[in-house]
Amino acid sequence: MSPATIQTILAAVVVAAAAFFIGRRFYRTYAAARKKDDGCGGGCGC
Amino acid sequence: MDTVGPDLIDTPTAPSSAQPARGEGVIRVALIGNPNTGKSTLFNALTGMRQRVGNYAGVTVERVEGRYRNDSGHQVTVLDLPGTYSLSANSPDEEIALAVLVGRAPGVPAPDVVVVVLDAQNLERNLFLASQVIELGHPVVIALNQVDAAEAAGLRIDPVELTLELGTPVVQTVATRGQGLDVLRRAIDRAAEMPLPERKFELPEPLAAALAPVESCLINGGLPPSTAAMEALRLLGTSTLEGHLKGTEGLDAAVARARNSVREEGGDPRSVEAELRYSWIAGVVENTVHRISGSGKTLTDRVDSVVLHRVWGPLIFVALMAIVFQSIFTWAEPLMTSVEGLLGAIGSAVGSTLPPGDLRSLIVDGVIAGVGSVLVFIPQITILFLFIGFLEDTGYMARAAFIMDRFMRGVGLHGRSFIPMLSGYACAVPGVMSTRTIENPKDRLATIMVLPLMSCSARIPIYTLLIGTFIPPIAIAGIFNLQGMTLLVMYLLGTVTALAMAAVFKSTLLRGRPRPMIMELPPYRLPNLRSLLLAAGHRVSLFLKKAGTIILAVSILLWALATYPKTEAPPAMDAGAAQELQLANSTLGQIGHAIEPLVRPLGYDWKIGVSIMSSFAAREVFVSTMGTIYGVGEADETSLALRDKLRTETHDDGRPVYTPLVAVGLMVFYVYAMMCMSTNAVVMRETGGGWKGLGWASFQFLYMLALAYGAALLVYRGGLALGFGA
Repeated sequence: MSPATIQTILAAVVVAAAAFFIGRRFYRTYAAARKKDDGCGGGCGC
Repeated sequence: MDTVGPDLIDTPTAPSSAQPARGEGVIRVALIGNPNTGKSTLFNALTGMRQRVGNYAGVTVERVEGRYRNDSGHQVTVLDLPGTYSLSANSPDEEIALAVLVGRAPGVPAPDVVVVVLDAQNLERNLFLASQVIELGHPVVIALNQVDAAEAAGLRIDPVELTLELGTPVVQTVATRGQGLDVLRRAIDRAAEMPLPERKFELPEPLAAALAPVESCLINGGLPPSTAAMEALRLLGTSTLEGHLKGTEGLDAAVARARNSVREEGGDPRSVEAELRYSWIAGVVENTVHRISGSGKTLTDRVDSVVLHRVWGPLIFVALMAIVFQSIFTWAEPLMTSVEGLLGAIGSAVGSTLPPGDLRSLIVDGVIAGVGSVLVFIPQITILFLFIGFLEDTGYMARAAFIMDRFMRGVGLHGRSFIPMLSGYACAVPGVMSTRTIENPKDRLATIMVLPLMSCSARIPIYTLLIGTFIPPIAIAGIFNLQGMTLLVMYLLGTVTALAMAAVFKSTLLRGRPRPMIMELPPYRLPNLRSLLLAAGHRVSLFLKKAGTIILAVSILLWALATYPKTEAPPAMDAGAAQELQLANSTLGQIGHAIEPLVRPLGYDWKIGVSIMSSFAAREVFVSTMGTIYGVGEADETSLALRDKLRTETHDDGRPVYTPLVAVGLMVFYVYAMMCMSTNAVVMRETGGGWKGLGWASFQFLYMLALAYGAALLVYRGGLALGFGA
């Protein structure tokens, strides 16, 4: 495998992880908001 | 300093039969007190935590827990309850405090020891809450705080006499200087071995007879007898049963009969508790408080006569804010340039270390360009929060609340709305949560609906990027300049619009009469440098956390969308044109071009359009998206700073994309737009959760978006018509 291909694969893994993180953050934020007395979903930044 | 700990108290020390069980050696302590008694400062001093404190009432609105180990190695868990004047449970935060103390809060065991923090300067008012807590039947320790300020004001309190009057250990403390903490910790350790405190005044016979059936109901419902006695008296004056008492069989009818009995005796059930307690308190104060100097005008009184003046007050407020915003530009610029230089050097180092490829592009053009473009604003955020902390700690913010209260009542908002709205300048999320102190649901909802219009710290990177790049630093009146004034105008625009929208809501959807608020003005104090640095450091760490999580993740995703699919540029094409071609053909470019017709009337191109869209995750993402978009496909790694790129960006016909008019329109858009996932979610929760909460959160998002679009359109089109397009 060429160094460029290895870089592309590594970049794809990082992008997939970022997409998963954003999806999870979005889900947790709004899942917590469904209940009146729960927290803000963790890591709301405030 | 005089201190009275358990060692000095002339009371029996035999273990009480009611000594609470302490699970696995953990001692649970609840900290309660009136607002602005230094309760959170004491909490921080005891636990070493960094809970936010401020020299104004209502900073703590949620339960916060901290821990320390006592001399015998046992863990002590300290629960910092919201500041409350009584246990009347008139607002959600008071209800939380009461439920915790009576052991009826879900998931929170009843405390082993309650520490009541009293402000030595306002003993009479503070003793009302203390007298209620004492009657609940928990071991109680009194922390008599701010004794230094009381002595400066000419008041000396006899701690031994107060101990005897209350029947509980009294420890004198100065939390800001850490004085009295060791004695307080020892008093907490030994409190459970002391006799339990009990009611210190007798109920008149007819009242005792009237309350007896209520007490029986409460005891049958599971309350201990001492708690039931306190609750029975309290219930006479409350209009509804709180959550922790609902379902107690026969309670409603028993309370109604007791109220009738009081009326038949010629009393008023709403005031009977206050009359009894204050009559007892008057005696306690007479025996324990000694005035050691005259009651002439204090320094605080003299400063207030100017600062709270009807005319000078608002002018001083605006001038102070102008100085704050001016400093953000003047002081932060050199620091900002240094951070930019550092990030550029890191980008160059990575660029020269890694061979060309997707991973190098991801790190340099996605991560460093995206996250780095937000990190350069750390100096501005630090300066802003140091100023805000300074104004809070000195006691000026409480005066600002007093000045603003006149305007707030004018638009129908409750006086208590000011503190949540003030919190909104830092972040809307805690601001929305602190609306729990507002008793009336309509007032609370109106405050929540307008609160995100207050410019939060997440808007600072956007404002300062655009102002620093497109607004010239023209001097105004010798000491100010146009950049600082523009920032001030953005903050004022948000505040004025929030008040205007509140007036609209209070006269339509959420109609209701404004309620007055009794506002406490604390004495002026010299700020504590450590506390200031901790508060600013806390805000910066939150900002860094955000940059390292959601902003980083969105930057990576946007890099991918801007990089794929890849377009091969013709060999003869220059680097800048090849970058534009790649961007235009990328997934991000296609999405951007699809939404461009929506933003073109505002003078924006597709890049601004996608930056706005991505900033729903967090407003700062607008800047990081810009950084990523202008970073992708760069010919070399010694890139220009984002500000320089924006200045040179042109449309296809050669016209500049960004003009001062476009920049102002964009800032106005961000003053109004509700681009914040966290705020949207917390509004959903605080307005009832479920479909109801979703409805209010969606309504707020849409009305603010419409306001943002309309205002930005008005600024751009109006500006063009007036000839400001160049």
